[in-house]
Amino acid sequence: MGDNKKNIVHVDADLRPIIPRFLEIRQDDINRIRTALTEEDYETIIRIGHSIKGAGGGYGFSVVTEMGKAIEMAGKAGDASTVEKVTNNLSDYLATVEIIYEKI
Amino acid sequence: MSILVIDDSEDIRRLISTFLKSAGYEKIHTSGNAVEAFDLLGIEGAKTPEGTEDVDLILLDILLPDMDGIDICRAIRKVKQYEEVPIIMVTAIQESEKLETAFLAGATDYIRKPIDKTELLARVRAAMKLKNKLDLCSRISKELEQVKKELRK
Repeated sequence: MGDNKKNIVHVDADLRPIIPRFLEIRQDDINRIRTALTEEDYETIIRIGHSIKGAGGGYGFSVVTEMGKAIEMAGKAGDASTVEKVTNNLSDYLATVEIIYEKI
Repeated sequence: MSILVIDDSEDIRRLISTFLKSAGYEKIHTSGNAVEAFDLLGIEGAKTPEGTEDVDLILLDILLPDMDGIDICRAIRKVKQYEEVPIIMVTAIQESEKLETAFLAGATDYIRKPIDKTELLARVRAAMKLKNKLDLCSRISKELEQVKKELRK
């Protein structure tokens, strides 16, 4: 059985207790971005994208940081289509990601 | 040793706290904005100016919603009690141009987001070492003053 390497993330074992909350906040972010899109509220989208970008990599989710960056940039460009696409990708990623905890 | 983390992101506060606790730092306080931070430190601008904690190191987000991190740094430095406390700015890459201003405002060092555990702990360790040396110098200076007073009698 092959691994989908894109969806395996290695996370510092010390962070194990706080990962559920991290993922919960990301789901809130996704919901808030979708709401902001319907309202064309790009300020909110930029702020949330910036926040996702800043947090992801620190928790071991560098892919999340990249997606946050893309959302922030698309928000700054007023590019609703890209914001929606990347947000959907983020949602899919979080739904399928497999976390491997290791002592770092 | 007591550390204060000031950042509006719950993710970042929790992440930094967890990394610091994993390295043995037990007293970690967090604030999500300037008012909470000033309350905790007991400095001008606080709603309750008594202050609750004696802090040995501050990790400060350069961009906060209610007050610029650099202005917070400046306000903290105005207080005699916190003149020598190490302040490490926490900044995203796009905020690099603010770093020079942050250092002029009294920042001691900086780390970048996304937070790297190794870098965070190395910079905190270095800042604490410096703080310990400054505290020692301050104690010795006070003792010398006391001795001088005694000798003049």
